Amino acid sequence: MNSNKMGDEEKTITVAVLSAIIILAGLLVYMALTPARQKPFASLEVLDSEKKAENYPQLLVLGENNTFLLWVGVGNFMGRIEYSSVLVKVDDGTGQVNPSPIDPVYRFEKVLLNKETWEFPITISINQTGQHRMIFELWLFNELENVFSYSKKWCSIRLDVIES
Amino acid sequence: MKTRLWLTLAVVTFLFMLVNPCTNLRVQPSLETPINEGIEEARAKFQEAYNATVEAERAGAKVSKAVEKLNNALDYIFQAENRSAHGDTEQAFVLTQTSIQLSEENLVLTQELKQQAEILRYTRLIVYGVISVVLLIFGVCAFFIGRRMWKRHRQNKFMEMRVKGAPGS
Repeated sequence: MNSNKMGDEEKTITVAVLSAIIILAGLLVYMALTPARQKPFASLEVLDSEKKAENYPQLLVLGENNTFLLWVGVGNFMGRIEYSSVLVKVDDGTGQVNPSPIDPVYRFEKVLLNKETWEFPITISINQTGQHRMIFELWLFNELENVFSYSKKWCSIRLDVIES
Repeated sequence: MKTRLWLTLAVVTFLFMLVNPCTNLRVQPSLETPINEGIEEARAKFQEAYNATVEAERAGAKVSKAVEKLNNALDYIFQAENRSAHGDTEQAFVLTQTSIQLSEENLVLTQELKQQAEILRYTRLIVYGVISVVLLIFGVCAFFIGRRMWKRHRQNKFMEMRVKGAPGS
């Protein structure tokens, strides 16, 4: 009778210790599998007409291929919604960049959810011969100051336009 | 007598409003306000709505619907700018008004979302608090019961050893 009671107690203790080990192991596994917090960032990319970073237009001939299509991609990984603006500027390749002081020729805006990517096409025509540089800049809205702030993300493409 | 006086004053004011040319300014701002101001107003309203959405998200609300509405409002602003650039001020005005309306709807929506998020946060806080207290009580009970059981177990072992060690066993 006594040994039976003792056996029950031993079983209870074993079960309690095992349960504690299982709970601790579960917590450790959870901690190991939970990814570390990423540093917030936003991204800007410019791709060719096939959405690849390969065949960018370089030499354009007036009246032949001076109209082309590019894809612009913006990624929001800032951990919050972002009101983003992409400015497209064109200069002769000698001006200041990051950011460029010239006025944009195109402006695209969208509010992005966290972890959302936004891709949109731009069709561009260049009708002047010479050297050109297309600058793409990403600006993010600063709600504290109610203005767009430059995100320091920019891309550029150099183009040489000749007559046919 | 006094009521009649007020009533007469109200009727006169109303009639004055009907004939006063300035009243048009309130009824149809498009006739007097330049369209650029309308677009500026739409942008200001949009920014207000955006700021409210940011706040709602910070409070823990899911803002995907609000963001969809914001993007629609932004789309209308761009369309209004395009129309305005082509000289179609009437259509531009209609588009800016639609954008303003969407931004206003968004303000109401974000307010609701923020309230819901706050309620959810307090509910969670209460539930987690209750769970924590229950677990604490459970832990304390388990500690004392376990210690008592362990003591009894040791005592039984000791007794068993004594019985085994006794002469004649």
